[in-house]
Amino acid sequence: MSRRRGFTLVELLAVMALMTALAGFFVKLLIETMRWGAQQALSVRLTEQSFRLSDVMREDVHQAGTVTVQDGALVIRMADGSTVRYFLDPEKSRLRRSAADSVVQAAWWPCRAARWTVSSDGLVEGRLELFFEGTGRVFTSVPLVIEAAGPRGNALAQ
Amino acid sequence: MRRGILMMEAMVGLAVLSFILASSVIFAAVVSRSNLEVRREAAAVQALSNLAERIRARPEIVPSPGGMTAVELPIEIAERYPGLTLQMSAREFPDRPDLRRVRLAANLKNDVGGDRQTVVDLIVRVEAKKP
Repeated sequence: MSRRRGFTLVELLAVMALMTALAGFFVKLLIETMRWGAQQALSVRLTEQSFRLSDVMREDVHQAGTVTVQDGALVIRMADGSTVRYFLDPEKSRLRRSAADSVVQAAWWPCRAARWTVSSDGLVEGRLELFFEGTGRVFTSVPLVIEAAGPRGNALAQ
Repeated sequence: MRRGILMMEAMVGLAVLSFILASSVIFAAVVSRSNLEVRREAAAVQALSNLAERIRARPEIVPSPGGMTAVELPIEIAERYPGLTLQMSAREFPDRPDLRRVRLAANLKNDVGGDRQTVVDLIVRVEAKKP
């Protein structure tokens, strides 16, 4: 009986098809892992940004003389006469903080919706939706509610 | 001379491959869950900060000493982070009737690792009770 010295075409094709399927699966797995990693990174950045926005806004409100809402913007008038405004730029989907002598370097946040209310006892409330959009299908958003005690709030003991 | 691979060899190869794949999927799930937990913790801290600000503006919402009050979360936060609840309790200072020691607690219900609690203590000035 003579020995075979190679593979038949069917065997070769079957092996090639199997290898292609496996390679495709691993490439897909790699792409999904990278996309997932990017999503997690965006999510962490979004959390950082939301804390930063809360801190900056609360600090502004705590130093305020008066706080009002005008044309959907939060207007904070300081005791020294300067004004800080938080307003949504709908074209660029950004919440901007404008101040004459701003010490905050990057004074905007990726935001699609912002609604402000100021109650009669001075409590300022912001309801926002922050988001980040990466490449491809990478996207994340988070609802953010910020409350800050305005000029009349001073119940915390010093 | 051998002309192929044994069934046993093929099965061992497949088992090793499956083990590697399953390990990566489990690893991804664990990391994803821990990331979700971090976000829930961050939401709990935000909710506690908001409650502290609310108390600063409205000290009348502080419960009477010894009492504990459940605090309602904004609807969008409650929907986004199910299992997150807030509570507030107060204690008196013996010699300062105008002050309360207020404890704010954010409870996170966790399916796997058990429940977790983040606590903030505040000292709040309230209206002194008239004799």
